[in-house]
Amino acid sequence: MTDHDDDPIKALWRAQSTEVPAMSVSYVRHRTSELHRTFRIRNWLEQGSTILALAACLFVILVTQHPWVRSGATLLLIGGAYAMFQWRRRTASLSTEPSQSSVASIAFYKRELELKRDIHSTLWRWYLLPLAPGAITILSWNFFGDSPTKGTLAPWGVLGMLVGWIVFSVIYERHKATQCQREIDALSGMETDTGNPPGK
Amino acid sequence: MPRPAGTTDDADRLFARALAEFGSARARIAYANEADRAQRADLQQEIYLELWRSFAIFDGRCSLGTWVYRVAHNMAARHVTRQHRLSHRELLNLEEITEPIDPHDAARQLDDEQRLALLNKLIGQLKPLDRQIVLLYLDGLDTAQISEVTGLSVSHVGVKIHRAKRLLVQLYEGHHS
Repeated sequence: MTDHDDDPIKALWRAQSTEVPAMSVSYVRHRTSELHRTFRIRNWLEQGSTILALAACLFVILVTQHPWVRSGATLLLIGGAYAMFQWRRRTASLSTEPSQSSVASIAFYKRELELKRDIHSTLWRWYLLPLAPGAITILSWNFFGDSPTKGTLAPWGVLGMLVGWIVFSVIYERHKATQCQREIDALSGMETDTGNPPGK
Repeated sequence: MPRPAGTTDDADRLFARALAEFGSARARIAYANEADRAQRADLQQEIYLELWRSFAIFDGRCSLGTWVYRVAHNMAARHVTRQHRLSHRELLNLEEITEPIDPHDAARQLDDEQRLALLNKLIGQLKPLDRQIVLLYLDGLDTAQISEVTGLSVSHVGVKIHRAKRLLVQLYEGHHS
């Protein structure tokens, strides 16, 4: 076999029609700025809603004289701030260069997936659980304290919504963690012996 | 001293150059990594956008070609992984493929279109890194350049290319043997 035996197939490969869609620099720039805007809006919405909720807790703490309500709002404020801090800490740790070598890029992608999986599978612990003391205190006041809604269906409605939200969140996050794990498994199954020493 | 592309004009110029010089290579990468037309268009668009974004930090430490190939192949590898999760299809190393051509196909005369279809089928069976090596080799890159793009050692790429060449020759000349 000579070095040139495969030249015809190389030529055939390079001559194939690939239906390249035309895309101008200005269009790509427009699409990129559109994506950035969507990302920024989503970030503002997420952070804005958390800040609003924390501001509402602060308002309740300052306005109400009722110790039960005040302690509930304080616990919610602390739990919410902690959850927000954890969210930012856990979601902002990895960044990559788009032009890394393929081996480095695939290894990075796997680490990124593992991080995402861990975020989804432990979210209940560091996001939902810190909010529980505050939520339980407020609900307890509604059920057992001197709340004007005591004895009505309103506390049950709130409890139902809260339980529904927790169940939905846990199922959804588990589903997302499973999706990440499947992709990690797929990636592990596709790993090629790189011929490089470990860690390279 | 290498510097990032810096201004948007620099990035635009690099992007336009990359399109002119490597537009068809990038399209072939998308073509080889996604058979479905609509999903291929999405992949091509993803590669375009990532490439444009990447030029903001292009520092000239590698050639434009190496940069374009790395970005395009990295995006394609991620796409293949995501699709693989859904399809449960087993992908193979170059060493695991013994017969690149079906005996039924080998028995008949193949035209170029059929050979291309078989070649795409062969590439579609490969794991991402092996797939990249074959695609880069078909695009005419030498062992050192492929090593630079993939991050594999030159000797390892050499072994892979040797195996790939045998498969490609078998595929092209299958009907003669």
